[in-house]
Amino acid sequence: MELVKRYIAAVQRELPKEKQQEIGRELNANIMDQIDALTEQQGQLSDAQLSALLIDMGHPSQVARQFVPLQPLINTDLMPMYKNTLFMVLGILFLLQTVKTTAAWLSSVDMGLISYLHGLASGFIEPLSRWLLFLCLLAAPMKAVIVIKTGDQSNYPRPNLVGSILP
Amino acid sequence: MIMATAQLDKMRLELRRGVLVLAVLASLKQPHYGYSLRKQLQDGGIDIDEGTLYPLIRRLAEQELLDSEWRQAEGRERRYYQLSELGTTLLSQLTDEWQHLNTALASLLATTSQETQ
Repeated sequence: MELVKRYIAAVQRELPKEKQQEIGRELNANIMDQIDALTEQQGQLSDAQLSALLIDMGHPSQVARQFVPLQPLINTDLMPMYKNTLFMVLGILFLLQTVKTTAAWLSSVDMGLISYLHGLASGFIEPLSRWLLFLCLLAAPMKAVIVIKTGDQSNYPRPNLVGSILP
Repeated sequence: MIMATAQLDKMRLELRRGVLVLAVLASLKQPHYGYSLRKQLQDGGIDIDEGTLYPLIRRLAEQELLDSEWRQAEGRERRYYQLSELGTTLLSQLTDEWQHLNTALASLLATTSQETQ
């Protein structure tokens, strides 16, 4: 039973705080039922049989994902807008950096082609990473805004069509 | 051939997904806990693994299609689920939808099999 406890704890670690208690409790009840059924068939379970049962249920993090699917960082509805903005920003950053590096190149005497390209790339990557972070942070509240606008408080809207109850 | 099997598995999964919801709702006219529901479905010829079933019931309960309560039985606590009022309404609508689809598909599939012969 120690093994079962550890298995459930491993699942719970991967769940959001507010769901840990509920899902853990239910998972425990389900596993106990399964053990009971097996015991009825084959007698007292050995440790090996017990661990086989748990392995069969799947990796704890997989089980946790089945209960609470991962939310994408960017809402799918926002994906086209995100991509457009991303490419626009990328283009502008590249243009700016080209101008900057070219100016530096022209004004310096000993700057070769290699150091020109190096300057172009390194000057581009740093603001790029900053922008990526910024856009991700921007997209998170946008998602919340969309949710509020459509009056949908949960990730699973109350269904009125066949399609919308599907997980 | 392996490709075809993988594709078949994926399409079967998609096909089954919606039907499983219907099967679960229909079975929960009577109260069941997770394991007993799984057994009942299995006995009825619908094999569903626990990794799919248990999250599905929880999700349906979160959507208020199912009522649930913890009960003590045989020295153990279990969470029992049963169709809620909303769930009952939805089940009857979904049943109509299913029957409609089934009739439509049956005639579609019949004509296709005639053509291939």
